[in-house]
Amino acid sequence: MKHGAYIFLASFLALSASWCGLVLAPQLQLGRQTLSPITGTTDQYPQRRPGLAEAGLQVYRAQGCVTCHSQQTRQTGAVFDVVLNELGTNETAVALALAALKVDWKPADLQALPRDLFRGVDFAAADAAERTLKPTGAKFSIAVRATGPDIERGWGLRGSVAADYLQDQPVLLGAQRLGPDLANIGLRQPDVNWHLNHLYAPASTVQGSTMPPYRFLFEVRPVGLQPSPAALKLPPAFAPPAGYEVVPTDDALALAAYLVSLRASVPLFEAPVTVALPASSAAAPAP
Amino acid sequence: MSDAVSPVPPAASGAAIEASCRLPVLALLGGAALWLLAGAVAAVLATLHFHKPDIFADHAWLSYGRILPAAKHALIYGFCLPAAFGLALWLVARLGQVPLVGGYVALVGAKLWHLGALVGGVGILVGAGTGYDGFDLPGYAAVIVFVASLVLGTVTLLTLHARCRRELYPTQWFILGGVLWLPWILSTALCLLVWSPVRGVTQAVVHYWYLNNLQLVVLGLFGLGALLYFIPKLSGKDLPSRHLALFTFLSLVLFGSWVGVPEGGPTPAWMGAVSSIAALFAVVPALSVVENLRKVCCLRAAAPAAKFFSLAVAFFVLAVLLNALGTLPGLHGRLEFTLFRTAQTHLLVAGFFGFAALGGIYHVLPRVTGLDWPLAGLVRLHFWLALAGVLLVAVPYLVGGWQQGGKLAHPAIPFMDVARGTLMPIRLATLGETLWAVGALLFVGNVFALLAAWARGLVKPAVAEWTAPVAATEVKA
Repeated sequence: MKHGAYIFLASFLALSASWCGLVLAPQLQLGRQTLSPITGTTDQYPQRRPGLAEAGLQVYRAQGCVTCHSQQTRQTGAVFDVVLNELGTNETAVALALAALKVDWKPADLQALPRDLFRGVDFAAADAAERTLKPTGAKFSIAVRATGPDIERGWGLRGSVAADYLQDQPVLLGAQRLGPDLANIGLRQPDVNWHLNHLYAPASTVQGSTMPPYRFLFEVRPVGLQPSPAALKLPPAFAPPAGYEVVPTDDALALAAYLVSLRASVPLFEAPVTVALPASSAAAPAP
Repeated sequence: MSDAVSPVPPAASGAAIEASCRLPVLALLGGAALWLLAGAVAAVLATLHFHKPDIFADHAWLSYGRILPAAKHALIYGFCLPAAFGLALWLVARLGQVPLVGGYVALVGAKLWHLGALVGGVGILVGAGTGYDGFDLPGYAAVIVFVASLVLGTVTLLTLHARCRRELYPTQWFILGGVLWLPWILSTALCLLVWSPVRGVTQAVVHYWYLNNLQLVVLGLFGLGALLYFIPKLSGKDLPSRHLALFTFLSLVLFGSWVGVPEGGPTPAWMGAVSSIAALFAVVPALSVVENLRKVCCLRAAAPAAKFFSLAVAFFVLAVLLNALGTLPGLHGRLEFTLFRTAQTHLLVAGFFGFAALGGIYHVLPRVTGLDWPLAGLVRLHFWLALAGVLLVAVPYLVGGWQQGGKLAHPAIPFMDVARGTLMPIRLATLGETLWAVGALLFVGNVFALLAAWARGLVKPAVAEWTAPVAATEVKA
């Protein structure tokens, strides 16, 4: 067979198809994605991280944190809670509606509002409840909750979506969970000092932690005339010898600031979730 | 079968062809041997973190997040790709029955590649890595590697073009595809991840695409191409079917190149779905290559390299099947983010390509130097060490990853239990990586003993000429 040209053409076409499909097409679909408005505020999501946290992302990259930590919360579905808040003026209609919805209720229940009508039902049930209750004039609310193992572990309020990563460079989604997912570590551990202690001696904050300590991000030095205000307050078992203090380097401070800024739980159109927090505080930059 | 095709060795000018390949092939493969050892040692050091977490806590360059990417970098950019090019150059010259076109240019390309890999490896250790798994080398190192890939690719294509034997053997298609695709994906990653990064998760998609195309398609093309030559060659039979080989080639580039994006992530859902379907179809090239090579199996051939080639095929099938398994709807959620995926990658890179390249080097180096392996007994020992090494990493990771995924899926199990459950598989992998490293050490010893013998062969005649007594007839004249 002397079909060198055909072989070349065939592989060229096959490979360029893949390039168009998985490199070009994502650009066309997502390359111009805009920031999302946060409901009830004039803020947009995601905001740029504060300067120190942006520097911390580079420390995160340089230390290869992505080797063990993912930054993507997975969501397998969503469930709905329907809460009856007020009866309104037409109690009979509400009672009929509740009967139609097959809610198990007693007249006494209606005096103790707000009351859960449904918890953890699917969209169809929540939708039926809304359509049945609306004409009665009763006041009710429907909350959306994400589900899935990650959510139940408390790793986030909703699954991560493309909009969460618009301000970061590089985007380090991670593919391994030898350590926990960090997409929302700033919500779980908002304390910078917790992170500094954890980086210096992981077992000092998480008993039995398998994470390697990052002592090289800290300086152990003799206490000067006055102890440094930045020195870590470590439990005795992890404290340096007497007369010494552990002071974080700029890299450690930046990394901790970055970790605290990881809060990807703002409700979005494509990832709806009802949060107890005011929306703006979840999107706010790190303290 | 009518379309049987024979890997005919060159009858004429064989010595000239070997001589034309000698320097670039020795540079590529000798350097690759050193990188194999460096990567193996780095991989051992990486796993030590799971025996004693604070073992390297005061040394930034030895921290897990740097030494593990450095180990992967050394394996892929130090060993696999230079070995791929070294074997490709030798194969296109031999199959085309033509001396290498631009041998010295290829030598420069080889040195440039190893320089880029070295700069990249040091860059990762000092914290300049990009953070993208499999593309960790900093941009400035990636540029060097990219230019080197162009240089080596050009020499390969020119030699392919100048071939005397016009009929193409399947191996040459695979090499053509690999030489085309590697600079393409490298330049894409360089432009879209480093120089002018795209926004948000599109970065992650480009990275998934790059990583899969590097490991499955580029290494697959070079590796399968080599196997389609070496296996029939060592068993002394013809490759049963050229058309089946064409089918393998086309299905690999067509389906394999779409694999890689995981389902359920923050990327648009269609990408993960397309990739999962492609991962199922990517089983096709693996099965077809087995069907083609089954009848010419060289496992029992006398040559020590034969076992490496046979196992490489088995590892390829295993890696591709596990990849397909890992994308099935019921299993995907369990196996993502676990050591299971690590094991699958290890089987593909170290198992499939590593074995194909090692066998190739054991086959090629004696031919280009014209010498036998000085420590021939070690080749067999290396095979068993490498096999035990790969299995002792892959099996604990497969089992451990399966358990890790099962625990991750149950939120009632505290995360600390999940994390502690991964310790034992990684500790076992220390043993596997150590065996692999000992094998690499024997390999390096053998390669450099061979190179030393070859260098002695160069120097000896020259010295003899200089120190020879002047013949009496000459004095009189």
